[in-house]
Amino acid sequence: MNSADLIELYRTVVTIRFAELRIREHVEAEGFGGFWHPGIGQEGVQAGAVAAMRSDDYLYYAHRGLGYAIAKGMDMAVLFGDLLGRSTGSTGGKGGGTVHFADQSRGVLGQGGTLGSNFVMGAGTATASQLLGDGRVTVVFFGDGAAGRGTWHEAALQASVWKLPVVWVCENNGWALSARFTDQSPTPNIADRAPAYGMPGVIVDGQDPIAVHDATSEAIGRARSGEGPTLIEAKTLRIRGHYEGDRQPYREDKVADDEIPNDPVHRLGEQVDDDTRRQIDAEAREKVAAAFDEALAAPRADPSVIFEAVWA
Amino acid sequence: MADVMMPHLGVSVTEGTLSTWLKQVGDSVEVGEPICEVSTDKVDTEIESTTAGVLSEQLFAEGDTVPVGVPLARVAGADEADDAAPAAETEPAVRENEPPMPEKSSATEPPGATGTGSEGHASADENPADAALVRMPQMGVSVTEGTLSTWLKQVGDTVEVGEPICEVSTDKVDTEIESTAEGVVLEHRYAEGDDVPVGEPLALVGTPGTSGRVPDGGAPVSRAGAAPSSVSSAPSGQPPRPTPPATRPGAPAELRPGPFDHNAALADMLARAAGDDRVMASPAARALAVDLEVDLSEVRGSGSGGHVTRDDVREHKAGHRVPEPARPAAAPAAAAKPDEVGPSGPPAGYEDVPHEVVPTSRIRRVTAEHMSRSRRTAAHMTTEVDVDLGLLGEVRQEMNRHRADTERSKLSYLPFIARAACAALMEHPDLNATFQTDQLIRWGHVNLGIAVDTPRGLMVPVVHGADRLTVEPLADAIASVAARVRDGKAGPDDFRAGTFTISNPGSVGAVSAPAIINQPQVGILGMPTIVRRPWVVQLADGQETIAIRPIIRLALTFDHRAVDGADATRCLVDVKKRLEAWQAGDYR
Amino acid sequence: MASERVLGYARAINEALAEEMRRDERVWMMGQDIGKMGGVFGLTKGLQEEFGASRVRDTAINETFIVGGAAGAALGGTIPVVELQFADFVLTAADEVFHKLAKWRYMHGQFEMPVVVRLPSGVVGGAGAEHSQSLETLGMHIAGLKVAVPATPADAKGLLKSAIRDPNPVLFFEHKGLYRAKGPVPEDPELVVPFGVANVARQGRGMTVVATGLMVGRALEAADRLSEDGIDLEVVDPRTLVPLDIDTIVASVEKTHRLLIVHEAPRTAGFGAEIAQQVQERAFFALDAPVWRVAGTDTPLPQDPELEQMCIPSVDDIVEAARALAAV
Repeated sequence: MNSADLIELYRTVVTIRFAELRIREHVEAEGFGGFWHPGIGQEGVQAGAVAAMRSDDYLYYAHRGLGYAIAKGMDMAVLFGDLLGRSTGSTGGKGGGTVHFADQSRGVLGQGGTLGSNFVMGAGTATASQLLGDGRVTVVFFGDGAAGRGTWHEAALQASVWKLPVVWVCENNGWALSARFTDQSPTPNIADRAPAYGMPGVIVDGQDPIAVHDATSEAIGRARSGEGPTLIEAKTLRIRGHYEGDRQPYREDKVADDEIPNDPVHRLGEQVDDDTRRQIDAEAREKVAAAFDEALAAPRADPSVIFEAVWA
Repeated sequence: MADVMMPHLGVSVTEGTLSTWLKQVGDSVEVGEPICEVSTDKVDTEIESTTAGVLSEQLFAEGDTVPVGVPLARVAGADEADDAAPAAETEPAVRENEPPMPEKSSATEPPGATGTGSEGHASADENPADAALVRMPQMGVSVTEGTLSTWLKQVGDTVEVGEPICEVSTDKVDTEIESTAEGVVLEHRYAEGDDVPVGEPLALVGTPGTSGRVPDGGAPVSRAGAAPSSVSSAPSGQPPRPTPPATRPGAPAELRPGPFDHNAALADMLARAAGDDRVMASPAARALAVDLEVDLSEVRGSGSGGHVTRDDVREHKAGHRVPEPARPAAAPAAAAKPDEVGPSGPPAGYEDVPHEVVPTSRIRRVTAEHMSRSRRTAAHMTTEVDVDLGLLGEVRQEMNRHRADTERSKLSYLPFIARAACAALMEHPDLNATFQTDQLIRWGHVNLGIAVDTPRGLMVPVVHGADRLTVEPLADAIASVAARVRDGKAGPDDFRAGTFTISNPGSVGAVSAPAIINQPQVGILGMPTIVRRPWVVQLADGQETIAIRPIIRLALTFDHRAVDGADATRCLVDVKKRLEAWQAGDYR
Repeated sequence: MASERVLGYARAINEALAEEMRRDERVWMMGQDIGKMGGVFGLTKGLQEEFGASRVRDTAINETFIVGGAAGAALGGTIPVVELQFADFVLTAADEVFHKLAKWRYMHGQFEMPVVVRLPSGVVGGAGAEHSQSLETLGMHIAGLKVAVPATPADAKGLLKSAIRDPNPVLFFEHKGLYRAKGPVPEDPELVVPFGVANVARQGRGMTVVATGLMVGRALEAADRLSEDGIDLEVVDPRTLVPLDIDTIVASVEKTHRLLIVHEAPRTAGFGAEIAQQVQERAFFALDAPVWRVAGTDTPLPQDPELEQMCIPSVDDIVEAARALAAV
């Protein structure tokens, strides 16, 4: 990765971090209509993997955080609008709390509320690309918990049989709500499941955005050249609870915010010179604040939105 | 192109060995013609073709084992050429009434092994019931509910099978309900005074401490045991069970998977409405009444259950009083509607006529509904013959002299006519039957209904197996059941499963006796009064003369859907011949 | 000038698929055994030969992928027409049908979801409790899905072509018992039957009968029998349940003043309940009698073909109920 790319990657990672912190501040101060599933500490996987994607590649994100969409270039004011139930959100104000957001022009195709939906959807979108020959790759993010769904098997099987241009990126943060990964998996790694589907299973350090980028880049290359899917398991860590406010009584190894192990922001920041880093930090903080204020100032959705977009 | 499939050869048989091909490729086959022989561990059998045409392919060789439900052979039909070829190709390999479907599980299970649910039966059998429901039994054809009058067993009491657990009264009978389970009464499901639909649980009986899962203590049967079993397996052959009315408010809802009886459900709906003080009118009649500025409370209803129809509103507006306006749908006009005064007062124009309003009794309303339903259902027709009872009169007199000697009561003509009717019915079984459009059920015995005039209204108790009784025991049986009915001591079984009915309006002086058929029967014999008439008789020398003879004009009303006039009349003439030829000593 | 030919229901569906795939390269298909085999009911015979294994794809036994993948492929710019081997399997892909197809556009405020799910439906003779159901009402209860229930070859073809051209997801319930039924089908490849237009299959003045799928033919047979008794049925086939042409049904009831609804699906909470309610909401004062239903039993379907037939309305059942209702 050249230094310009590295600086951009750092900018993305730190922007996501500030967004995480700003949202938490809002949730704690204002309360909130829904559940916010914080992704703090996992920015490295989200930013690193998305940085390897082409702008027209398809993205199915997971439920923890907004990092994927920020990395894919979606307007933060729009994203915060979705989070806050504002008419300026990409869903026109139907969201609020845990968000569905999408941006067709950037290939951000959304998320299913029933975790694991993205497996079959992603394989389907990759089938479309294969049929149309449009050269696009679909990247599907998921957590270690969602990997327990039957949809994983059905989609992974078909994707490998058809050599679909899809990359499976697992953010293994060790926890599925209250279930410890090691209690619900017979093998120590999600990647161990890849050989059953005849695809490479790659384990990377999820706290290292560059390593994630490189692994994803290779997998996307394989997918785009018709060699089929790859399963990437990025080992990361859930810092906060399942949702903001979850006191995690089930968990003994709680992690404090200021001691994120191998914090991806710091690890990447160390490779950027101090002046540049300070400047990027300041710009990112300001950009996040401005976008959040813009969203807060936007009107809430008119109730008529309830009856919109039921039918095409 | 059609396939001949390996048929089911028994419950546990999943495959068979093809032993011999009886038809070769190119042979023509008819439906039902054997095409091959198959042996299983249970049977050796020939497989018949289910389609006609030319055998075009044998899909298995002799000695092959063939699973049930897979094609054995292909037969090209005669009309094959008419089919566009691709259409024939795209036709599914599935036909009605064959077991062709590749079950989704067929990859892992042998065909035929799926879906019979043996585990379901096993678990039901292996799970002994520790508590059971005692249900409201069926108490007669038209009885859909009863009133729980008294609990004879309280919660905590021990009860045996067959021991009375409560008393129930219906419009027909007051009776004791016997427990169908043994144990301790754990729960009363209804309070005294509640109306309980047939089939509903009355009480929970079991071991103390049990609750929750409640296996059924048995089907709702009457005291006499099982309800009449269905003879048929066709869809329409199931004897319809009354649709249970909704349970009382506040009672937990129950699951009711049973078949749906349209007639019973409609009758129940109308009966409920009839019990209300409100004017009963169809929505369309209400709208029309508003348009025509007609006060519905002044309109007499001619619809089922007495509801006001659009035509009634129009007739009222026009000032007509037509008793039964013809309605487009009701084929036979309902003529037997109770001519009641509406609950809101006298009909328009009658206000100044001195009158008394008598609320209709429940039995009146049930009778009304039953009668009009019968008229709607059956194609009524009546055939009549005159019978000279002169000779029989002498026989009867002789028998009554003997009976007087032994202090037995006198015989009326009824048991003789009933006896002759039973004998004739055994010769003409289509009249002793139940008609179900697709089929006619001929009953093996005559369960003879006798219309009895009681202070509470018309009742029709049943003498079971009347065809097996000679005239005197038959007379005793009729007298006994009639007495029980008059005294209010008849049980539900006394009204159950009649196959033919005799109505006797002659007892009050009628000279003609057409009647309404007692559903679900095919015929009813009307007995008017015996009239002494001038009659042409033949003397022993062949000369004719006029004599005074006791003549009865017997009327057989029958369902023309089930039998034709000639057949019904033959049956009635048979009755006549038996009566006129009755000699002392006959039928005894 | 469009001429008419006689065609089988199955063949009409096959023809609609072929014509739409020729018309629009984005249309493709997947399902179990649909390619080389042409489907267990033979509906897709010849299509893989014509359009190739890429556009007519055999899948594994993975209904969540077949439907969910179709949803994703629609987002990717194609028009998938997928087959579930039996309509009952819609329940093995329930999340994909009722959440992904039905709600994706709504949840995200964007996207079109042009997916057709073909569902061989209904009783066919011994297929058992999990291969014989009529589940069309499920599609009415969850917003976002269109529901077609063709009863004739012409409707099967015309409605399927409409479904494929619709930007919304469509549950297309083909009746297995009708696959061999034949009827006139216009030759015009541009023939489409629009959604939301009921077909008055028989005119009458005495009573309206609403029926779909296999029940349309049985209602017509009942009507013939009842006409001998002077009971004159009007048979209305809505053809699509979503959208539902309630206007035609209401207009018919306003003429006949009586309504009988016939469906193969169980009696409780079937589409009959919904139609009955809508009619009384709109035309209560047109009614001479209660709205009535003839429907399947509230039981699972037994596998035995004879018992199975007793669980769904027969011509006799319709005749009996219509007689009773006419006499009210």
